[in-house]
Amino acid sequence: MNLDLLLHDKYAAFIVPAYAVSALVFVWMIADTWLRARHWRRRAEQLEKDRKA
Amino acid sequence: MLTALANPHRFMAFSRWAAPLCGAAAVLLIVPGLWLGFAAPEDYQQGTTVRIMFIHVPAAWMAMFSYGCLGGASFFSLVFRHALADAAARAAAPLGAAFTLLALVTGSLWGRPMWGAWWVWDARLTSVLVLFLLFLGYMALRSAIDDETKAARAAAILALVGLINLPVVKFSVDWWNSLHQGESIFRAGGPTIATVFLIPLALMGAGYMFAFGALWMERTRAEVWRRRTLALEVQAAGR
Repeated sequence: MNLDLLLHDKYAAFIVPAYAVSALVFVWMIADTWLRARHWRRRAEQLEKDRKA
Repeated sequence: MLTALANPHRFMAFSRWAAPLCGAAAVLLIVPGLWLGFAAPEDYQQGTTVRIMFIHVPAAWMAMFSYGCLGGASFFSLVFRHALADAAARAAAPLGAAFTLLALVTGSLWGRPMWGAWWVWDARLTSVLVLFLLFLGYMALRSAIDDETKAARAAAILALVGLINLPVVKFSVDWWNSLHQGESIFRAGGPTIATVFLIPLALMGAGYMFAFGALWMERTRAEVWRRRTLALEVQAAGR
């Protein structure tokens, strides 16, 4: 099924939002996880460095 | 394996390569899963809404699986006082809530054209809503108590009590008259859906599983770093 057919499907109003919501939630999960990990790793590394200094 | 990974240093060394590997596996499974899902023919009853199944069913599987992980980690945290188990439990909750929300929303988007209703107070739907509320309750309880040890213990008890909901979700379609269709994949006698739908569904299911694995490990790593930061700040304040 190509994109054009999907968008003109009679159920497109349900299928497209379902995939869009899934994509958004995945983007949030990945971004939040990555940013959280980066934030705490950097803070921990900085404090380790300060302690050794 | 679990005993070896209970050591935070070993877990951090393991997850450093295992998390990206799981992430890559998730992409390698989800991409062909999506491709085959959109290439699959229309279902004779559901029409093209069958494509919602490829994202709805794996999300529902992951909602239950992540609660199982939350419950298991809470058990080890409460009984054996494993700090890493508590970190893993805390890391699983938002992911589980996200997958449960996805299952509810995509299910609702499928239900409107097929059942004629966005929502019905059906046993399956209601028990999944309870699952979502349990995830939210777990997170709210942890945030509400300042003492992290007390918060972890209270939240672990809530998570363990909530485990009773998992068999209710799973068997709700057998125990009560339900509008939701019965089990068609994990059942005695094998799956009842056509191979053309089963293959993309299996790929998506495995992809979601690896995605959860990657994100769970990375969030647990973040939680370990957060605790290390707090410990270092206390040390620095004492000097």
